[in-house]
Amino acid sequence: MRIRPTRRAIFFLILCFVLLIGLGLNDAAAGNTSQQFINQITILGSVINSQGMPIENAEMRVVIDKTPQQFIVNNEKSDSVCTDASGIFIADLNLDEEISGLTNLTIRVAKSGYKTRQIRVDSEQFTCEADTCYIRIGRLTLQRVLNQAFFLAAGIFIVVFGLISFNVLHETIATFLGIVTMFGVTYFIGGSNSDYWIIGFHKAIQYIDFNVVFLLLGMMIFMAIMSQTGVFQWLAFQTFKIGRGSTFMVALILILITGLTSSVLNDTTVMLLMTPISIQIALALNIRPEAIVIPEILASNIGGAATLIGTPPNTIIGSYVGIGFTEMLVNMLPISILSMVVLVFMTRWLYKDHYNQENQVTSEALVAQLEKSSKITNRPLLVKSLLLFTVTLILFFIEDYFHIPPAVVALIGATALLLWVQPNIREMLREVDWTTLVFFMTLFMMVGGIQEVGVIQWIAEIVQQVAGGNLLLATVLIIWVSAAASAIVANIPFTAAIIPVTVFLTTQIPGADNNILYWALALGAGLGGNATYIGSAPNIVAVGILDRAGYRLKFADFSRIGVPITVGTLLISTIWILVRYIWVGF
Amino acid sequence: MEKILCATRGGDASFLTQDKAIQLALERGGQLVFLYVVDTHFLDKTSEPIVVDVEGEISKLGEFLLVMAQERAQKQGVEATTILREGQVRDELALVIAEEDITLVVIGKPAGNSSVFELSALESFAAELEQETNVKTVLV
Repeated sequence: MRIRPTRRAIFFLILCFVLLIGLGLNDAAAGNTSQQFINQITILGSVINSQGMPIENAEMRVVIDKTPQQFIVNNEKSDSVCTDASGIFIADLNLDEEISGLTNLTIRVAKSGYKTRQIRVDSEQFTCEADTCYIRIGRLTLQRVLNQAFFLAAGIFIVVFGLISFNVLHETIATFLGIVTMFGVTYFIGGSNSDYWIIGFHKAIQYIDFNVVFLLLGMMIFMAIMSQTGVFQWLAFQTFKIGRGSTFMVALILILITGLTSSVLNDTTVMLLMTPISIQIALALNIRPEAIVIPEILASNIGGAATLIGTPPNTIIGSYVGIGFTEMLVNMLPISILSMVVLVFMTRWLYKDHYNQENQVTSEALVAQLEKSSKITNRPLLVKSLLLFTVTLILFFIEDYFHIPPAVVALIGATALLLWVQPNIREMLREVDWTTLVFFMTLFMMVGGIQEVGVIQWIAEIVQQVAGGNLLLATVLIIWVSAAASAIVANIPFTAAIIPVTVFLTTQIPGADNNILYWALALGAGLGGNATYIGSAPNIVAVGILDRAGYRLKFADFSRIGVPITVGTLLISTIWILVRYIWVGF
Repeated sequence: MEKILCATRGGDASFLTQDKAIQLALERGGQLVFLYVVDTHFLDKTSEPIVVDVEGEISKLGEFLLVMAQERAQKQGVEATTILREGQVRDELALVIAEEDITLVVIGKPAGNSSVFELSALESFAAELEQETNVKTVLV
């Protein structure tokens, strides 16, 4: 039907009017309030590093048209807003402006030790309700820069590491020196120049793993009481009586006793108790004491690697990543058993000349002296401590079921023992080795320092690049590099520094979520210490006691035995780990 | 009557020193005293938990080594007595010399790895000890 021109015009006008109304409604629905006034903008976001860890105290500033804006923080105006411990910031910006006037809105996030990031935000990214708009930034990743704090903290840590590893200073004094130096740099220089800020005191305190400290405290109390009973020396003498016809049998039983006790009690303390009596037994059998004591040293490190409480590196690893007693036992015990088998066979072969010589008649005077050194000195105390120790071990096994931290289990056991035994508490408190506990606390603070400045992150990224995301390569690297390091330097600070690296790698490498990298670290740090006599504390104390008996060991004398056995145990353990967790998986 | 003091530990080097001291006792018809000093300073730089009586354990070891030394002397026809002390070797030697009216001190020369002292340091120590105590000190 043909429409007349006037009707056409009216139709056209009505159409335009409808379209205009529609557009207007649409604009309103879309929140495009280009003509809208807004009083406040709330900006939300989080800041993380390249490891995905939140960055605390990163400063966020807003600039609009090159004009810095002010926020309302706790009812006061502020030029910036900082992220909290979770890396999150929520900032309120008071404005009195048309939203269309908000061009060139730039958000700038900065923190010392990181590259500053700037993000331009357009008004289309606003979500508005009434007179308030929200800008959600999401997760912002800041990249590290290596500033003065990085190099200073790394240098301090390396120096302290060297002082401890080469026995220049007592370990506790060394770590005190290290953390105090970090604080000195932080507060005297970093206070005015943020590039020198390493770690503040309150932040450093947060890095102390009190689970480790109290677990050690509890087990120290057990050890202090049990060692008074003479049970270790009595066991050693019984071994001498039983195996007197065969030198190797005596050595074998002593090695097994040392390995077993080191798995549940501190390995250094076990060696302090076993070494003197083992030397006496060796001399009574007319063989060189090294033929018994060195295999015992190696057994103590191997046995200690089996459980959460056997050796400090395992305690540190377990506490940091939340691995309980049973889980660690299930995964590490097979490795320890395999390694003990290797130790026994290699000991038999390396010391065959000593074990094969005919036993001469031992003088009765020496046997009498040996017996005198090996009596149970307090039978009731022995019964009580063994009973409660058994109960404590059972609690360790069931801790996961009740979600009890291992430290609490140790404290329960130690408290029960103290209540039952009621020793002179002043003497007992003197028995607790407070210097060791302070060492661990200051060590954790120092590791916190190098973590804050990005040293750990830097190491983690290098390892990740070398491993290339390959789980097998990463596992083998961690085992053997940790072992090599533990052979030369102190394994406790090494483990404390490397565990955050291992945690990072576990989150990045596919297939690592079965905790294989943690077992690799425990294995390397535990067994690597067998290679040299400076490799771990049981080695140092046992060699020191040998020296007191006139049998001084040179570095090469120990390594001649330690290195082949270490390589043998590491090889078999590496194969086991790869078979169990990667190739077959069971 | 001569009273001979022999500071000893264990090990092959100490056996040589003990034998020389026994020989001197036989030649001079004197009394022989073996001394073992318990020194735990090697633990000073270790910060692992030391919650046991280390001195006590090393003392037992020292007693055993002294019994061995006594037996060696007995086999060669010399009755020897033994003394066990705790502390630094140098200080305890001087104290025992004064307390026991020692007339001759026998110290072993470094033999291989087993001596605490280097020879020059040992000679210097022997000279100082002799000067301080007025007792003849021989290195064997």
